[in-house]
Amino acid sequence: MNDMFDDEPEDDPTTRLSLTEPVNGTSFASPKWYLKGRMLQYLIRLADGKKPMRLARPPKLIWSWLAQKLMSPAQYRRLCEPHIADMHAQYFECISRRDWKGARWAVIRGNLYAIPSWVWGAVASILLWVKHWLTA
Amino acid sequence: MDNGKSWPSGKELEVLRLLQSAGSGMYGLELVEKSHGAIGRASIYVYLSRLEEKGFVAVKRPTTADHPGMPRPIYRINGLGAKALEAAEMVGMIRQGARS
Repeated sequence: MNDMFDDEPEDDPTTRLSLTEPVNGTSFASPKWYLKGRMLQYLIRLADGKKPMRLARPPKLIWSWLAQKLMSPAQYRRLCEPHIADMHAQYFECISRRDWKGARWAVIRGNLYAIPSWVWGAVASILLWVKHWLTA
Repeated sequence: MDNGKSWPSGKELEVLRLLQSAGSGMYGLELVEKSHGAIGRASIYVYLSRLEEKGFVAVKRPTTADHPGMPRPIYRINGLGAKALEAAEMVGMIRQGARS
């Protein structure tokens, strides 16, 4: 009977999932463990019958990657980052009030209001580049 | 100072006036609120960016915020901006309608 279990690995306590300590050198700071922890929190709250907690991660501008390509870093810092910062401030203010709809609106508004700034910055960068190319 | 290039426009002077009336530093959204619709949220950072380039405004970018996201920059009028505003008011460049 005992031979049946010979092939199975021994129950090593260090390989068990632990909620308090890192396992096998992994850190809870790694994205994998972070996501597992947050999913577990979400499921526990769901099982308790409470409203599930939202994952409070700072939202991003949808087109920021394009703006970063078209603008110089200084222009991006001056024109786009303040919009992102305003969006984050409003978003987390709504999150702290548990106003999920308001948080969603803060992200949509932030994205819409940032469009003229980054278009202006992109056009200015392109014009500067053309001017530099013509004078070179 | 190259007057043709660096002189603040009407809206930029309006932003400078708001910053001077506040005394301390202000966020971009606070400027929009205080302007009572004269300056839109979509264009405020364009004006502030131009003013920063021209040297009329000092910007402080904090490294930490009281929330997990990006901290908001704080804008403040500097000495050159105050002088430009004073000169503009003397020559009457600020229109009465823009003051509201």
